[in-house]
Amino acid sequence: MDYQKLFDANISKESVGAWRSASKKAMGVICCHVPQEILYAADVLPVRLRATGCDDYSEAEVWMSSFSCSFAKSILQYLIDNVYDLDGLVTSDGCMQAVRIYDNWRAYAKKAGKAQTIIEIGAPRMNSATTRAYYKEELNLLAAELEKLSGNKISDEKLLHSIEVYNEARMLVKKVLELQKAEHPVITGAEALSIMLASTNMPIDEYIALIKAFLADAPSRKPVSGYRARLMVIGSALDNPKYIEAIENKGGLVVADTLCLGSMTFGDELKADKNDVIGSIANYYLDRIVCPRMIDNRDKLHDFIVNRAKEYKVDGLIYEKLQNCECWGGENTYLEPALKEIGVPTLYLEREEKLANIGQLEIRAEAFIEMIEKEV
Amino acid sequence: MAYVDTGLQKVISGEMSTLDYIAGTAESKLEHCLNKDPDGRWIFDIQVAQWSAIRDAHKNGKKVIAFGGPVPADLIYAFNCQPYYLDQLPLSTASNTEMTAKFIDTCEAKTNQSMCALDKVEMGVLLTDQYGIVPDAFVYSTVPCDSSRIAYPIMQKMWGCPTFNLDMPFRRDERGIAYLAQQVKEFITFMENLTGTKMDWDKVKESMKVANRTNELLEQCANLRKHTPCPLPGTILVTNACMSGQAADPAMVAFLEKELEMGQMMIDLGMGACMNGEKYRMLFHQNMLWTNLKTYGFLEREFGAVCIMDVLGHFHADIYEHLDDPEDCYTVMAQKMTNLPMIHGAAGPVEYYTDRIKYLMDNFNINTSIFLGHVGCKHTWASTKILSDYIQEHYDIPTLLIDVDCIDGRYKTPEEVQDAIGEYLTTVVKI
Repeated sequence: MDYQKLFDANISKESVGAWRSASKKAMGVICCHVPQEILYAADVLPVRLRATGCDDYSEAEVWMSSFSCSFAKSILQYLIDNVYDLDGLVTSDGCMQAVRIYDNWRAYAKKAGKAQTIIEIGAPRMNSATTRAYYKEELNLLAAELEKLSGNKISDEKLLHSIEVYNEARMLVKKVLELQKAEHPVITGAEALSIMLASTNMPIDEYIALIKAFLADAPSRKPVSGYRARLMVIGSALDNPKYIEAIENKGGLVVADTLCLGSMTFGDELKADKNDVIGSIANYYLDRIVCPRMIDNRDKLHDFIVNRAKEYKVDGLIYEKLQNCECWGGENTYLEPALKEIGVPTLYLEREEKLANIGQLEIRAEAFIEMIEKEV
Repeated sequence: MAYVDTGLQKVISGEMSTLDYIAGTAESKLEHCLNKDPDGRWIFDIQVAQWSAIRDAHKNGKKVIAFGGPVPADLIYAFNCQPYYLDQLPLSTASNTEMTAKFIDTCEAKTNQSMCALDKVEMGVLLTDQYGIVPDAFVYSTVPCDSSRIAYPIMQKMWGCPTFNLDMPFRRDERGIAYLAQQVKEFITFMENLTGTKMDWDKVKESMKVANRTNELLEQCANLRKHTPCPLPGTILVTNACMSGQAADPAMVAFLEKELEMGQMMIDLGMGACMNGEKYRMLFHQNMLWTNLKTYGFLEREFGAVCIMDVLGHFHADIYEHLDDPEDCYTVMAQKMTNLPMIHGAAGPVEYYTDRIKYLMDNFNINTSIFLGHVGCKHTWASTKILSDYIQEHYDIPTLLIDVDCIDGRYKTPEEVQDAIGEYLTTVVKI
């Protein structure tokens, strides 16, 4: 089976078009706290929104101002430009910029006379018995809205099947990530990010089939050699493999990340309690570590990053932050000393969604790699 | 001989805490006022009451509860503890650019340049160990913003004191309010454990009665501003910011009674805040220009332009009606948290913001709309087109968007802000 589609990071309308032409609904998803299992159970195609390749978000900037993060603005721009052709959105209040995509797209769609179903679920920003109960109810409401939209009943059986499917994807993605632990991995960091991004371009069943094909072929792929330093990338939403490629062109090999659109797209296995399936989903998504949007998971997030750096034997860490991204603005205070303790230096980079200053990125990456490369 | 603020120099050199400086300065100003203009003492009485209560709390056997975002502060009083609303610190230092800059720069060295300057000052003061007091507990919520959600967990770790968090629901519907009310009950348990005392409902009632009175008074003061000409100056809107922490502070009652009396007296005399006549009744859509409150007086004097209200500062009066019904009171506390200044407009869907604007536009005879936007408040900036379109469509009034840093005076000089507003008034609004 040809799995090359996994390496195409461009946003494709192909799957959405095919899905919708079969009289089924496709909904955009923003961002990590919308359980896609519930959409799948309603036979609604979830499309995690991103903005890869958006070079001009001037119209979105009119709506969201120059003080907003360019990732959020670029998603809004793509919605305005019909890069996505969807029935609507399911959003959660990930960060407050994400929330404004919801507000602005609603306002824009109304003005443009574009029929859209827009559902916002409240995702708590702390994890306790009270917040879990609240979130569970939000997910029940989401399920009810999706039933209305799709005309399909979401039963526990369907949810359990959906969880099983997504767990299979999680398990397979984990195997892909494991490949990066090798001294000479058979994929680059840019390729790994492309594989993760591909999950937003197609139905999960197709994705699973492609990943299986890739994994079957992996032993025959040519290992990467000649790199000068093993790197890990953390920080704001990054959906452009060319950014990683620029770093890798300068001799680094990105072997790990904790990016929400990268290796964190799929987490560990979701263990479902058959007596409380929605509750299990709620607990899973609140427990899952993705980004610093939560106020009570910082230590866990830091431990996770430090452990991953150790596990993947990284020589240096690149902490990239989108301008005006507050969520990823403060982690260095405690993370940097923890990384220093394990001998991992950090390079801080600010960036915009569009790759406007790739030359500067290359210079800084090269200097960092020179600094940390180990003499053989 | 030029006046040298030696206290300020000591803060900058790290010898003096911010608390000692702010409380000491308020006391000096009060003393000066008593000598020169005793009638004006009410302006300083409230500042002295506020800051000395925090400074002397431990001496007076009270625990200090630092807090950020919406918190049921009325309960803190009921437990005989002293609340310290952290945002009041940067609001108090903002007019002093040099001092504020020190804390902002310190914070930026450790975190993030784009973070809100309120949080940068709060964190910078902690990084330089210049609070002057170590709180006995830190309570904070998941809103107002991404910036505070980054700063507060770091500060929690640095302080290392007992902490309680509240999660603000996205929607403020019945379920959202019940969700918050449940967390209010959990907060009571936290306070009981912290203080080692059971909640005394009579004390809670006492606190709620004071809060009811301040809420009523503040609403009456706000209502005075509906009058043309507006009897109260824009600067007095600072009162709104005090309510987050001081609604149950008896000192607020005296202050607001005086504000109400002054405003009523102005109306009776047929006078307004603009000494040369009122032309422009401005609605500011975000926060106050804390760096330079004199700008309000300048606009009133030079252009006859008075800030009738700032939308995020506007205070919504929620009254405890059934003081003997704890469940009902917890619900009101939850509602109060959602209706606090800034929270009501900045968090949740944008409709909460436009609803507030609609109320003010419909009731306060506004003829000028200005989004005086703090650059740190990015998610409100991200709603500017929706808000300005709404005002244009419903009230046929254009909106001036102007970026300021309401805490860091280095961002823009007062003259730049004044010029921009002045030009807008004379060339676009042209009344």
